[in-house]
Amino acid sequence: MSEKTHEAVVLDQHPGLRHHVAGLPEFIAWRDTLPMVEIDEETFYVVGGDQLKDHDQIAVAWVNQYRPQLWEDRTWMK
Amino acid sequence: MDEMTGTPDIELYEETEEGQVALQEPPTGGRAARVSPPPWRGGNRPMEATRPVSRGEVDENGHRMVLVDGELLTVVEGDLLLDIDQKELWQEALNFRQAGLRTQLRVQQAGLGEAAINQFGIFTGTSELVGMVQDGKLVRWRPGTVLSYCVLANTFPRQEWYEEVVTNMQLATAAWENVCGVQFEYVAEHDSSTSMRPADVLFPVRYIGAGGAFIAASFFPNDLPSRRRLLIDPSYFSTTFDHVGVLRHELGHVIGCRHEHIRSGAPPICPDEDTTGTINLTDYDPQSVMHYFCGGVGSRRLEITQLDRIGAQQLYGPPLNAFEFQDA
Repeated sequence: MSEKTHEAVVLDQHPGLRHHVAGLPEFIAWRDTLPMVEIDEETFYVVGGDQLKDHDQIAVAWVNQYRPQLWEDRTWMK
Repeated sequence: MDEMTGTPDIELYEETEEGQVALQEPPTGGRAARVSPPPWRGGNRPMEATRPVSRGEVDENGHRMVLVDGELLTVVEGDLLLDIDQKELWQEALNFRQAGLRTQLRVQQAGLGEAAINQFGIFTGTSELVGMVQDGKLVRWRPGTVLSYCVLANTFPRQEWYEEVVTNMQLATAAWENVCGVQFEYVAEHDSSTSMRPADVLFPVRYIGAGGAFIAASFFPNDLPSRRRLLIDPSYFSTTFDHVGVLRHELGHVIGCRHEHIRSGAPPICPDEDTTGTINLTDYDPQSVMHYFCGGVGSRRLEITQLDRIGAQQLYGPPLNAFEFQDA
């Protein structure tokens, strides 16, 4: 099994999207509503009350949920 | 999973083409449709006919019945002779096979086939929940995987909290084992480990002060091996939710269940989540063990309901204690 999450692999396949989403004010505002915890020197966001997601995972979740057109819209491509 | 070899112990479970034939009732004359035994049954098959039999009557399903050495047997699949107990098991296997195929159809109808995966490999459908789908296949642990765990005593600030979690984990794991074909194993000798990730268990149960960010948190079968852990926040010990129920819920995630309340039928006030890669295994169940207490539905007892049982069995089959396993 890869030591990368499925979401990290997906973002790797979309060069530029990770950086693009991380800078979107709407994403930042949503992310900031999520509780954060540090476990074994990794930072996680608590999604849905009991699911721990890293930054790539919440970025993909946010795109899926709120900006699915970004998967098709290539304007974020470098 | 053995991380050194990289051998995965989860499986992206997919019904085969062969199984599609079994959607139809086996024909009553001529050669019956071939129905593969479900994977949780292993390779054992009922006895094969090895001698000519005399023609008899038919049973309530139209299967031919024959008398062999004074014993009335049912003929299925063209050449299999089953006694009454074997026939019951065969029918049960067929039913589960068909249930699995209905799930497959739901997957396809939800657009989880290749057609719904866009050119970037991202699922773009709008289906909803409970089970998990990755690369168009249901996510579950590989058959035969023992979900071993320990409870790291050194992480708990109070002995009684550690002891409560040990007891409650045994009750919660037994609850899942009694409804579907999963197997947990408590490896108590690793409770004293000072490692946060003891090598010989699939996951540790740990206390962690998360400031109430969660009561407890766990993982999914397709999460990274390094993130397989069940975490207990101090709020677990004061919550008004049933304490065993909280662990039943977390173990539901461990075996591949998503939250029930993210389905379209749930009250809108219930927490929202990304529903990508999810699939309904049953009808919406407001009393599901995987449903939060929100919008006037849900239960603080977090018990495994009959619909939960059906959904879990779609992934894992009947409880292992329902079988009389035979060695090769």
